[in-house]
Amino acid sequence: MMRMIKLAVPATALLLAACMPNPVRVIEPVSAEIRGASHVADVAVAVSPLAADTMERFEAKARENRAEAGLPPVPPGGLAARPSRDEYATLPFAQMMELVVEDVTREQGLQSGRPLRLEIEIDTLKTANAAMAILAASNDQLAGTVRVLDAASGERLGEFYVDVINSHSGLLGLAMRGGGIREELAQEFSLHIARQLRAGDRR
Amino acid sequence: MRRAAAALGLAAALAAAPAGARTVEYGLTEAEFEQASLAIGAPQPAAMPGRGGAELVVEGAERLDHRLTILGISCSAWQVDNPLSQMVRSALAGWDADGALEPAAGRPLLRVSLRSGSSDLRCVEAREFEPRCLVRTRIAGEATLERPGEEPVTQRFSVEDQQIHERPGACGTLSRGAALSGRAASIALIERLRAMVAAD
Repeated sequence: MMRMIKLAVPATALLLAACMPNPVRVIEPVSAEIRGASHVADVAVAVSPLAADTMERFEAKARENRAEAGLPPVPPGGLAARPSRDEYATLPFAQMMELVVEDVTREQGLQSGRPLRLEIEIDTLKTANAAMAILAASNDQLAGTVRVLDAASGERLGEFYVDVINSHSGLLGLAMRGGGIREELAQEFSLHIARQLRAGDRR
Repeated sequence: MRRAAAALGLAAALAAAPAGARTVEYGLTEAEFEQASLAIGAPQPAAMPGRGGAELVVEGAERLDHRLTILGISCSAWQVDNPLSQMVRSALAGWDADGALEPAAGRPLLRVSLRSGSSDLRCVEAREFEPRCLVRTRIAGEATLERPGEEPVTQRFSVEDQQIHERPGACGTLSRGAALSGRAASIALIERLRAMVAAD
């Protein structure tokens, strides 16, 4: 019996890994000439009306974080100076996401070449539901469409969809994930963007 | 032990196989399109444009046929073939001056060269247990307007339809949503071509 269980556990894990769909779906392949030869000069994040309800909870939490940190409210046009990373959790979602995408793509080596504008439309942002996590499993999820454009001419250079899902099962699973969920999801989403733009790395 | 191995093998086979394969059905009546839109909470389908004054010739329609791209995780194992050319040809034939899609003497001729067609779908949980699906169809190509005794005028076009389905239902109904969007994109194409003829 024990031998069966020992065999079944890794086999099931392998099976589940094989079942996990690729988090990136290509709509229009990113132009070969910009892969590994471009950098992100401009990012615009919009939230689809479909995500508006859930987004408001996150925005309220960010405002709360900002007040607790003793920072003045973010003006409607955004902050004049680039904030430190410690401040990201206190920013409205779109501004936080724009900064994270710029940071991550730069860290992933996209620092020179053709300047790109990324237009990101987020249609899903949700966090794991505690009741569901106890029964089975629940997810943190961030998903949306990324359009890649030439920053100067506006020429379309590619489009893809990113769906980041982090599963948690049980209360322990939820407790272990810690805070900063919004920022972590944005970080992972941005890594997938960088992979699409880098040469020879488009998992 | 054998049973466990067999069960794992079966599970692996099911995981690898597509959950279902469908083809988008465009041969619906106006009433059936309307019923489909009511069933999945799609926008009310617009009326198909009536006959226009130009003759049309359609080239490269086969380039429009493709497989629906399913974005995100929901229904990602489904495969839906989208023969968009059927819808576009039928819509253009309805707008063609005599429905024949062939040149006729004395009338302006619009040569429609279709370059590409695509469609994608994403289903999201707008609220807990309240899914919504967004379906998008794109058609691209170029059109050349020829009038007797005048220089031909060529324009590129790219039209897109995007619609939200409020009650998408199970994955098996994806093809209905794609049909409604393909029909709306075909109407958008006619509007674009009509503007080209009118402006000239």
